[in-house]
Amino acid sequence: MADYINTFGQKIQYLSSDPDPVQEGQVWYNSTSNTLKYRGSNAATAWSSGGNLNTGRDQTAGAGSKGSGLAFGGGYPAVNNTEKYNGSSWTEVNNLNAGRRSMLGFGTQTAAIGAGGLDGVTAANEIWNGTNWTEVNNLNVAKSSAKGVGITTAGLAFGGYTNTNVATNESWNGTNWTEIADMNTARAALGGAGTQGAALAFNGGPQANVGSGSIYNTETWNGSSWTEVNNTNTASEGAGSSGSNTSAITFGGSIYASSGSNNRTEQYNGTNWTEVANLSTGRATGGSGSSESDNKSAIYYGGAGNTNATEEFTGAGETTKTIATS
Amino acid sequence: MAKKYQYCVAESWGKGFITTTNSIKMSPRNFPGNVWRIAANSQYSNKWVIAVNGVHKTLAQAQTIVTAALDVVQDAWDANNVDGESADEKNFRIGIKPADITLEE
Repeated sequence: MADYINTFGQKIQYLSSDPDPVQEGQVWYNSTSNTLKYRGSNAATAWSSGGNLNTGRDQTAGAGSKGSGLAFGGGYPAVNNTEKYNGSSWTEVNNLNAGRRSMLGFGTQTAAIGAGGLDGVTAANEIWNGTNWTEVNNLNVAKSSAKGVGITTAGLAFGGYTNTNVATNESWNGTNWTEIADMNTARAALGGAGTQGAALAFNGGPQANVGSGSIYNTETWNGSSWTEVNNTNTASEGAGSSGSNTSAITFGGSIYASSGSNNRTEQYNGTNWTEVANLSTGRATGGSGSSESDNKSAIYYGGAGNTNATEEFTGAGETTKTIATS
Repeated sequence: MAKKYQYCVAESWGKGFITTTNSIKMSPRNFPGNVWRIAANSQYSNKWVIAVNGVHKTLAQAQTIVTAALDVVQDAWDANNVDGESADEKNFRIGIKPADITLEE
């Protein structure tokens, strides 16, 4: 068998951790994980199976990312279960103090916020420190089905449902929620991405508004006001979402007027929405990560029918791949 | 006309059941009753069915399984009611009623 050095004229780097930065085409041996790796590229987008939740549930909230996720609450009847994901499997950890569904969640696997939700519309707010949930100051407006983005010291909660759809927008500073400029379009079960100072709101539903349809509208937030930008291709509500306000992704959801869940996925590039690879299972009101930095990585778990399925999204572009493990 | 899809029944075990490569090569789609639709006339698809201990089904067989599984879910949805609740409130509480599905050849 030919040696790499004889074929390419170079030795393979022997490193204790993956190189940073790394260049496309680079090959190295990671002595900690005992794996031979290279930096390649994915030509296509795709969803793949992830580990199943221990407790299948609808309307669950989420935080973290594809490789380091957190799922909490959800279900009908509502549950208070919390599970963390390591990229392969979910593990039960300490429960929320108050079980509820359709709450908003944001942050990371070790520092997250869970606020609002049902049973009985609530403004309750809890913070997760990686081990336990602690009750902290409530939202100003009790609501369910709102969207949250950000981190535990700088968050944003927009839209939702009280006894009607709302456009309200609240800012979280780590201690208190403050009402700030509303969205242009009131909506619930909406998608969102970004941070406290640079967010994106898209899609959403009419909830109990008879005769209304699901929403296409997308709005971008610059820290002080919302501005309408290009719509998604498919109107939906209860879809998963993550990313930033210039690189976002939405997946699944349902179309209120026609019934049935869909499996569509769309990526936003800061200007337009483009349809990419579909989920294998059409479903709505699952949980998704909130700390993904762009639209090339996403996770979707749970959803209608209290399913426990998880799917993971890999976008086109550079990615680190394992050649062999010794 | 050549068939676009083939069907099988297989139960997902989670991580690794469908890989990124599987997804790109077969465009899998899941339906009630653990029915999976994958690309037809493909050795890759056939190998995947074997690898996941799947059982091939004809279109008619797959449709029967999906319809039966959906009937159970739809009946459960119909029976899940709260006194005084409007249709819209019910949609909000447990989501919209799962729609009928017609599989494609």
